[in-house]
Amino acid sequence: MKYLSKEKIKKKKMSKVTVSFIIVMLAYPLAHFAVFWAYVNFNTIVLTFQRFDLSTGKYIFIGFENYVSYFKALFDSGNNSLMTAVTNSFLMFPFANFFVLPLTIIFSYFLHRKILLYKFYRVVFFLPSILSIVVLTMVFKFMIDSSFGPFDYLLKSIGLGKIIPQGGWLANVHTAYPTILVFLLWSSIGYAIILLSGAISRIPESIFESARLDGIGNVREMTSIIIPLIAPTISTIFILNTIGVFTFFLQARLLTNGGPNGATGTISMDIINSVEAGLFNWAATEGVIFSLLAIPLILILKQVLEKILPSVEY
Amino acid sequence: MSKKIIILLSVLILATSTFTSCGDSAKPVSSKQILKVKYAKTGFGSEWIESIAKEFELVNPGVKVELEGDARISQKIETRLAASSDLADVYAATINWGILAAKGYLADISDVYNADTDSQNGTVKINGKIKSAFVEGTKYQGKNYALPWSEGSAGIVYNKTMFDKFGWKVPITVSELIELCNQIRNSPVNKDEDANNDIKPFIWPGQVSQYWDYPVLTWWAQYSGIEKYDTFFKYETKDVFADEGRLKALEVYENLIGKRKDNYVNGSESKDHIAAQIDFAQSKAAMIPDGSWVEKEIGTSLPKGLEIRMMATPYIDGAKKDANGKPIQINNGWSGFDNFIIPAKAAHIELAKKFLIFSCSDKMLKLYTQKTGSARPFNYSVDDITGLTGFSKSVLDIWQNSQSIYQISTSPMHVQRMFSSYWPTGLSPYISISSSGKSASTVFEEEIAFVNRNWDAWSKLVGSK
Repeated sequence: MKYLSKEKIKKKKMSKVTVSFIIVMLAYPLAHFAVFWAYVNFNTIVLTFQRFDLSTGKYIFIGFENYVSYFKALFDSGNNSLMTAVTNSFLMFPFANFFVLPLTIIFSYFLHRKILLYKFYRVVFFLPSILSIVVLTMVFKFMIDSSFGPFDYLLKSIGLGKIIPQGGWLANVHTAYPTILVFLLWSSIGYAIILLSGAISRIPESIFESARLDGIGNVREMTSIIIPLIAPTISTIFILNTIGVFTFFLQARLLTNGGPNGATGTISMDIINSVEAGLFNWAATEGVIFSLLAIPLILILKQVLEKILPSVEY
Repeated sequence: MSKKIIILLSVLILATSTFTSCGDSAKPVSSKQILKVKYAKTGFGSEWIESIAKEFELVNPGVKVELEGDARISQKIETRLAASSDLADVYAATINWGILAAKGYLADISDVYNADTDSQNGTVKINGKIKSAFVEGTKYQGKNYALPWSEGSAGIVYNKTMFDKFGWKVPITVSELIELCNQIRNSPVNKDEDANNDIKPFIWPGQVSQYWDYPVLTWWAQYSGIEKYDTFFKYETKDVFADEGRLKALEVYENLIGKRKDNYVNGSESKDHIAAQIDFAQSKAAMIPDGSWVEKEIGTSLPKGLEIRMMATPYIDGAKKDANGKPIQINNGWSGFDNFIIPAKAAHIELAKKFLIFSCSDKMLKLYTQKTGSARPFNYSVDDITGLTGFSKSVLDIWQNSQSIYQISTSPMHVQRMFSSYWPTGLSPYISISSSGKSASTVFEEEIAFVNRNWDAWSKLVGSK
């Protein structure tokens, strides 16, 4: 009896019809990838080495001139709005990862422990996550409005009216961005709590029971059991927050439109504004610079996080 | 056989799903020629273009004008033209047309400028009827590519009902304006115990602080003269940024607002233009820097019986005078980007040009004014237009009796947006003065220093060096 090798079986099975079928099925996603990813990104990179020549109506090669201009503008002492935008974006990294994330873990833990009124807190945390960002920003603006907002009214009524900045929280160059961060904390915490609560709920109850029999306290339970066991989820949120550094703009756009005087601008807002103003070369250059920074940063972070917070099977 | 059928079916499904989104197959086939017009749905509303379209259909029975309003069309237009997808025959929007013309996206409409149209003095060419600044100001390499559809007047709008009630006089000079602010602040209504009825001299939208450009640019032109002001927009040398008129105009703002926080509603710095306009309509302030579109934009928020007016921008100290020794009244035309354009790949270019020519007839210009309460930059009479509001009449009175300034520039620096037009640092001088505590002279010097540092690089990037 003659036996066919595995390769031969494969070869035999891949008839012309099958190959044609596979090609047809792959054609659309591949074409989509080629046009909307490869071409667009390639074109973006090319744009960074070009400038538009008004007299000929054509793009001409100018080497690294756009990059030089960008860095000159970034470090120009007279126009600090670009540097402010970059600083604001990078401030998101410690804020989201070292302030909001630990807070989220603590809240998720308390919800898991079913503290008093935990169902009410769950609604309070989750509600902003399911509402439209436009509605949220409107509500927040009303809340802190200097003319009729309840927050300022409350501050005044307890004798803290003096700390309210002239023009309101979003109008002052020093308080506008911190106010947006407060908004971010309020509006985005629910999403992370959903992920973390889900991860905590998947930890077998038997682990908690045996730990409690050993007399473990709340802090130890969180640090020695919960955090190691939900490490993959924490890592994911950490990475998503880091990506957010380079994509964050909508909240600031809706609350202050980048103002006052660029005090609340971000990297991606500057890119979007540049595209809307027809400054494609500038937008492409800024995009490429921060992609070159973001890609290795995120890859390194991923490696580091895998070492610090290794996955645990249970 | 069955495999072949499967493959055929797969191809058919793919082809169908790919191409269904490309066509406009749902539309009924009409015997009429369709002229597609897309317009920016902004402060001036839609009524003006709807009315012109209707009139165009009446004189062209074989044509149907299909209108589509879009508040964000100005941001989308370049990508639409580049992709040649879903193109209209005419666009009426805020358009940086120069760059689009250079890229070959626009049809040459020089023959529209050379076409005949009616006027008070009989038949004239459109290029003789349009304000002269636009004939050259819409040219790229000797050909016209844009036709302005609006000349919005911009400056200071005031609450006439309030002025009448308290006996306040409309200021003629900046000194009178500052005195008026003192008068408003010291009004009995602001001295009683009820803080809810307080009236501030101004409200302004800090989120779009460029609304202050309306009076400030006028003060600059008043001080420097229109010729020098126009020279600025040629951006031939970096010295134009050191024009003293710019400093004087900023100093007016500094004295009016920057140094006097009690001259405006607290929180103005964080308001957008809609919120500021609503506060103005609710009589929280007597004045607002705004344009001829404000009445349409406020719409129903304007309480019944409340009357608003536009004032001729008060004269700055040292304003240029005419031959009779009278200060020259200037209208900030706030125009240069509000244009009609025709895509080079439009389906009906000739019909589109016909529509543009039609829109320049006296009847259509008056119809535009009647529907918007504002003017177009053409020489035509607005005296016999009926149904205008008191506010519109005040706008048109200023327009008729002033010399208009525009922010038109065909300089490569401007077209390629190397910097923000008037304040190159891109920072708002108004926020810098009122919120960051800088003086007008510091802001002015910082702008000059910024230009000096970057001028050579900009020149290189636009290829003029």
